[in-house]
Amino acid sequence: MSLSPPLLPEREAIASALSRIQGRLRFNRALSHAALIGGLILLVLVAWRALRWLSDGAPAIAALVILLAILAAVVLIGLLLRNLLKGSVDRTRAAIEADSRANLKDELTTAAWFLDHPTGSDWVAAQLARAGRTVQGLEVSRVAPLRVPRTALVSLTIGALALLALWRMSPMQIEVAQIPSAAPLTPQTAEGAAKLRQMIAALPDSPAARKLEAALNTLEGPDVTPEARSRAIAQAEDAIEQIKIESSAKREKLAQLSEMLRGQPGMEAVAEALAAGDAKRAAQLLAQIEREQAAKTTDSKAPEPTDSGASDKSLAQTLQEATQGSGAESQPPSERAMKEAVDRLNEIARELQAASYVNEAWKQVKGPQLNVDRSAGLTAGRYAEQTQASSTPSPGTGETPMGGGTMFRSAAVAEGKAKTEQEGGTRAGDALGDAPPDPLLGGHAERLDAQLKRAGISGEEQEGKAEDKSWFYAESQQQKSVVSARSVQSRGQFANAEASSNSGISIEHRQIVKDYFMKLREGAR
Amino acid sequence: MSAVTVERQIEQFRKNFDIVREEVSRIIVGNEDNIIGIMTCLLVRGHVLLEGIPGIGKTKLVQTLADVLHLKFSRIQFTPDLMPGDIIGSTVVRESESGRKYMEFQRGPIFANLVLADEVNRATPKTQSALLEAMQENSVSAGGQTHPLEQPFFVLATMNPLEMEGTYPLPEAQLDRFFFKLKLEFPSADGLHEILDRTTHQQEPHVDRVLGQGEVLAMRDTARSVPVARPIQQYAVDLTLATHPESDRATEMTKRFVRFGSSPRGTQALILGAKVNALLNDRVHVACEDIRAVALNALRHRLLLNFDAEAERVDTDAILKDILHRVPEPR
Repeated sequence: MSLSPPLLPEREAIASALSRIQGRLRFNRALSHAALIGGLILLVLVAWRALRWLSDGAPAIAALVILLAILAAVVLIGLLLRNLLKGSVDRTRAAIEADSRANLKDELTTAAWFLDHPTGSDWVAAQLARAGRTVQGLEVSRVAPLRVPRTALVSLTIGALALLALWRMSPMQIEVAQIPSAAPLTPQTAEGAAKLRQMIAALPDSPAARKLEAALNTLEGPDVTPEARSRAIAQAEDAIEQIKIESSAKREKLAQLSEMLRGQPGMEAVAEALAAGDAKRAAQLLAQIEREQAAKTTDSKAPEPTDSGASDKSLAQTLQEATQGSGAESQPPSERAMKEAVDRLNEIARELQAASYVNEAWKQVKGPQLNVDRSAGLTAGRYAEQTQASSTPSPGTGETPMGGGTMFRSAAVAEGKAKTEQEGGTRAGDALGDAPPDPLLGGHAERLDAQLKRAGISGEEQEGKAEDKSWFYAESQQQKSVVSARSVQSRGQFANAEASSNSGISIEHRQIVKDYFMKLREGAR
Repeated sequence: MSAVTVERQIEQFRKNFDIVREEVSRIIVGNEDNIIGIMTCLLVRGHVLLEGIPGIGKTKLVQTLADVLHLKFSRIQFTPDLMPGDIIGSTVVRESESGRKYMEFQRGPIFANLVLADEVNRATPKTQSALLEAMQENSVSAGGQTHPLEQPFFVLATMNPLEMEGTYPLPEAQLDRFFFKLKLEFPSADGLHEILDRTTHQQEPHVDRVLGQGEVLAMRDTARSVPVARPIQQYAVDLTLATHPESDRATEMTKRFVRFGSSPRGTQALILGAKVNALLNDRVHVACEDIRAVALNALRHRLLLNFDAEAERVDTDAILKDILHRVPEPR
C-alpha cells in the first residue's frame, strides 16, 4: 500500500471537513423546518381558499376539506416536532451522516470520536491518517448538498399551485339539486279551495279555522314542495277534525236543549227540531212563537228587562228566559230573550252549515290532491300513517284489528286432522294459535264430553241414563286434575312474573323485605 | 512505532491470514466463513465450538489447520468413560537411575497448541469441566502444582447435534466460555463433487506449514490493537442488551422467546471478532458492519431460550437476525 503524505495535517483536514458538513446539515435542517412551517401556512391558505371557493353550496365537501386540512396539519406539526427533537448537529452526528451518505464504514465516526478523545496510540494515529486522506478526497457538497427535502419541495409546489388555482377561480357555482315542486292544483281543486276559503269566512273565529286557513294558503301557494303540501294536508285534516268535533259539541248542546224544552207547553215542535239537530228549523219555530206572543201582548206591554249581561248568557239560559219568562209564573216570556234565542239558534245553524260545507269542500280539495301526492311517493308524517293503514281488515280474512294488535282467529278455529302443536294451541283458544300445547294433554285436546260429565241433581252420574231427570254439566275427574295441575303450575309462573315486575321482589319474600325496611326505619328513629 | 508501521502490520496480518486460508482451502471444500471464524478465534485467544453432523469434515478442518500452522496438535475423543486425568495428565511414580523414586507429572493431551475435543458432549460433566477450566485459565493444576499451557492454546470442540441419547449437553455457563459457535453446513452438490475429486484419487492433496507459532502470536497482538470508537462500541452494547428480555432495548422476539441474554463475554466476543474482521477488510478501525458480521457466531450459544421458543421451534439465529434487523446503528 502506497502512503502519500496528506496535503494538510490529517486532524485539521478531518475537523474542517466535518465542520463544513455540520454547517450544511444545520442549514438543511433549517430549510426543512422552514419548508414544514411554509407547508403549514400554505395548507391553511389552501383550506381557507377552498372553503371560500366552495361557498355554502357543498357543506359535505367543506367538512371534508376541513377534516383533511386538520389531518395534514397534525402530520406536519408531528414532522416539525420530530425534527426539532432530533437534537443539535454536532461533529459526531455530522461524521455519522457523512459515513452513511458516502458509505465510509464508520471511518469518519471513529475519526471524529478520536479527535474529541485524543489518545497517543499509533493505531489511532494511523486511523486518523487514513481518515484524513479519505476526507481530502471527499466532496463535501456531494455528501451534504444544500437542499430542501424532495418530498417537502413537491408538497410545497403542489400546494402553491393549488392555492394559485383556487385564488384565480371564482366561487364555485354549485347547482343545488332543486327539490321538484308539487304538481299545480287542478281546476277542480282550485275551485274547492276557493269554496273552502268562503266557508272558512263563515265559520266563527277559532284556532281550527285559522289553522285550516293557513294550510289552505300553503296548498295554494306557488312552488310548494310535495313534502310541504303533504304537511299542509295533514294540518288541514287536523283542523277539519277539530271543526267536526266542535260541530258535534254544538249538536250535543242542541240535544240537551231539546230535553230541557220537551216538557214545556207549546215548545214540543221546537224540542223536536233541536233533538234532530236542526237549529234553523228550531229558530223558525221559535220566531213564530215569538210573533204569536207579540200579538197577544200588544196591549198589555210589559216593560222589557234590562239588557245587562245578555250577551254573556248561555243559549240555555236565554232559551229558558224566552220560554218561561224571568222565572215568575205571572210574567210572560221575554220578547227580547226570545229574539236573542232565535238569533243564537240561527247563528248555530249557520255555523253547522258552514262546518258541513267546509267538510264537503275539503273533500273536493283533498280527493284529487291525494292522488298527486301519492305519486310523489311521500311517506312521512301522519299522512303516511293514514295511507299505509292495513288494507282490508275483517274477520273474514282472519285479520281483526284490535287495540294493541291484530288477532288472527279464522285460521285458529279451522278444522284439521293433523294433531300439530299449533292446532292443539288453537283449539285451546289461544289467539295466535301457536301457543305451547297443554303439558298434560300434549297436542291433543279432549272432546267436551271428556272434560264435562253429566251430574244429576242428586249428585249421581246420569250419563246415558234417563233423560227426564234433572241434570247439569260438572267437571269430569280428568278435567279436575288438569285444572288443579294448571293451578299448581301457574303459582310458580305468577311468582316469577311478580319477581320480575317493577318491585323485583317475589311474593314469598315481600313480607320479609318489608319487615326488614320497617325495622331499619325504626332503628333510624 | 508510527502509522506506517501500523499499516505494515495490517498488511502482514492480512497476508498471513490469506495464506492460511488458501492453504486450508486446498483440503477443505467450502466452509470459507468457518475457516475465517476458526482463525478469528485463534487470533483473539478464544476457543471455538463446532457443530455439525458426522462426516462433514469437522475433524479434518482442525487437523488441516494444525498442519498449516505448524503447531502442536492433539486430539481427544470424548467418551462417557473419559476421566479428567486422561485429558490433563496424571502424576506417576518414577525411579531414577540411582534407584530413588520420585513423582512426575505425566502431561496429558491438553498440553498442545491446538486441541481437538471431539464430541465434547459425550463425556461426563466432570471431564468436561476439566477441559473448560483449562480453557479459561490457560493452565492445569495437578498434584498441587500449576502447569501453564503453552501459547497459543486453542481448543476446538466439536458437537454432534444428532444422537443426543447418552450425551451430556454442555451447561450454558460452560458454553459461554467458547468464543464462537460455528455451524458446519452440509456441502452443496458442487461442493460434494469437489470433495470426491480431491479425496478419491490416488494422491490426496497435502498442505504445507505456512505459519509458525511466532507469527500466530504476532497476529494476536495486531488483532487486539485495532481501535474502536465509543459510538461503534455502543452498537455492540446495544446488541447485547437487546438479547436481554428485561432490558428496555429488548426486541419483541427477545421478550417472547429468550430466558437469559448474552453475558459480557458475548460483548467482548463481538468487539474482538469485529477487530479481526476489520483487519481482514483492510480497516484500521472497527465498523458496525464488522460487529454485524460476527454477531451470529459470537452470540448464538449465549442465549438461553424459553419453552415458547422450543415449542415454536425458534432458534437463537432467528432471534439474533431479528435483533440485527431492529437495533439501529449509531445515528
